[in-house]
Amino acid sequence: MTSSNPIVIETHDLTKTFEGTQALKSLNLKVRQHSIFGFLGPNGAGKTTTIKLLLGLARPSSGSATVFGQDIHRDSVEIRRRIGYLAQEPRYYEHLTARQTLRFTARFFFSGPKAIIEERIQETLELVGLQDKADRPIRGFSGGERQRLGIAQAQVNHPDLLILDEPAASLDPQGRRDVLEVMDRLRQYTTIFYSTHILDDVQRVSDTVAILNHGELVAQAPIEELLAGSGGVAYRLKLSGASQQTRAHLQSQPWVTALTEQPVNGFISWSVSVSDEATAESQLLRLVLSDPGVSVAEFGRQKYDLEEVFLNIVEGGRNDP
Amino acid sequence: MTRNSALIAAPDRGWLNGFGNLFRKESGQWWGTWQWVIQVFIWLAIVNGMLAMVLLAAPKIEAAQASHEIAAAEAAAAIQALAQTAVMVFFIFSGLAPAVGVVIIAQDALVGERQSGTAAWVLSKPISRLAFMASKLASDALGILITMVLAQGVVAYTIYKVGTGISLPIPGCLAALGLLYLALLFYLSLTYLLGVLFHSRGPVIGIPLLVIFGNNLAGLLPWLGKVMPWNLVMDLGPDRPALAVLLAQGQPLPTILPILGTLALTIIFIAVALWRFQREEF
Repeated sequence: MTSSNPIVIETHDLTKTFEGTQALKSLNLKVRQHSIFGFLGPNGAGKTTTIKLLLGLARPSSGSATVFGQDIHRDSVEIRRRIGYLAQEPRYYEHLTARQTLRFTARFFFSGPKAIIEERIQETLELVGLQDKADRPIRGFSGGERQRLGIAQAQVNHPDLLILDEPAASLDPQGRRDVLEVMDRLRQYTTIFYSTHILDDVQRVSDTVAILNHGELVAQAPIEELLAGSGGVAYRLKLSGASQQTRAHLQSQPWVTALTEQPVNGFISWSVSVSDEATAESQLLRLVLSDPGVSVAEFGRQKYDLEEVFLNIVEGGRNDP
Repeated sequence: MTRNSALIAAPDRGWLNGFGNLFRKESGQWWGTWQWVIQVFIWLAIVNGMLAMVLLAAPKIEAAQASHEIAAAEAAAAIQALAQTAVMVFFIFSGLAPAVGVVIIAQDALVGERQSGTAAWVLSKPISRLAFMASKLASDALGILITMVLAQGVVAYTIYKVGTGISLPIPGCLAALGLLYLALLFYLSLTYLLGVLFHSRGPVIGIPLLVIFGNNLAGLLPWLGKVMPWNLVMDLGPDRPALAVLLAQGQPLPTILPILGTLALTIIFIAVALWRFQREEF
């Protein structure tokens, strides 16, 4: 996914109010084609509301949005022809089997040929590993099997956009892994917009992240950018034998804005914030190693854990980690 | 992997998008399960069972005549009276018991799907909301027509003929069954409308049941009796016999106001339900 990819979802001040309470406040979002877009936020942040607005299941109180360049209200049916959707708690007709459910779903998109539709259904069952249970009524399915069926019914039309609402929330670690693997496999064919509050999952598969809190978008960036931090560039060094002199020398450099130190497993860890990335790339390590008493075990650009970023944003109510 | 280009995309049918698939699924719940058999037998037992019990008196009248306990003219009059009662009983019971059945079937159509979350799932597919609701209405209307009206009507006609020896005029009987069907459609549309307006089952079941058994209100509010379906299937007084009974016996109708009123209300209920469902959020 690159920034030149066409935009699939775009919202403009999208707002939803329920009985005087703003569930979503002027959301401005851009999702590019072929991204796996993680839509993060605590419970009640407005993630599901956004998804329902995009699908035409609810109406915006104000603002607008387009999917594939089409208006979510006026062109809802046309948009849904190109979408696959998995609800947070997927519900199906319990008396139907998995195969019948996929057949029922597929008929909304395709009128024939019957043999190829059946082939598609079989492929989709295999994709999610339900081929052995395809002809059993859904009422006997476990939570994980229901979730996999949910992905199957969302994928049966090979949509251009998959919208998944908390796809792994109710699953055990193995189920979560399976779902993430399926998402990863689908990445090459489709754009995936999914909501979650499981940060590990986002870090594993997403390329772009938006964070929603109390109905407001508080951050949106490629995940690498978010993890690198937007409060300035910083580098991390793990070293031994560092002297006060080296540290003072470094701090005297005009491009070093801060240096913090903490002991880590017998080493010293420095976090060096800089104002000039290019100079830091060429000078920082050289300066440290100019002290013959110093050994550098690790050197690299400071990365934040997504959980750290998320908590900073959500609890701090600010945009930078 | 099959490509979408190998498949034929479902055609754009405007407000009917998805109707065929939804109707097939809804009909499957009537005809692909034991539902239709159960419905036929329940109403057979209640409605035609009641009719058969009434007509059990006929062999006794014939026996009395055969043993010269009563005169032939007296027996013929008794049979006529019995036949009249039988037709009334059939339509009264058909207008009450299956009407309750209609409410019980229809109350789940929208409330059940909304509560279970299946409505939101289906509506996330490329279908129109009109098609979603129309498919349910159409399949229920068809199921009701066959199991509660036509099947019962055919059995009742046979029992009646065997019991009384009288052949009712078939066009009149069909017209009478049409009025019975109209009354049931009224309750179907009312329950659907309430299913859109309310999100819990209480009012969706309770209000139609009050209406079904509210025929006594016609005495208090005569104008109500002129527009509600009660008079289609039951007497609302000596001067207001059940219209279906008159039609079944080939007699002219004194008024068609209750027919027009019921038809108009049914259409209004469906139209408002469809309009309101378009604005529903899931």
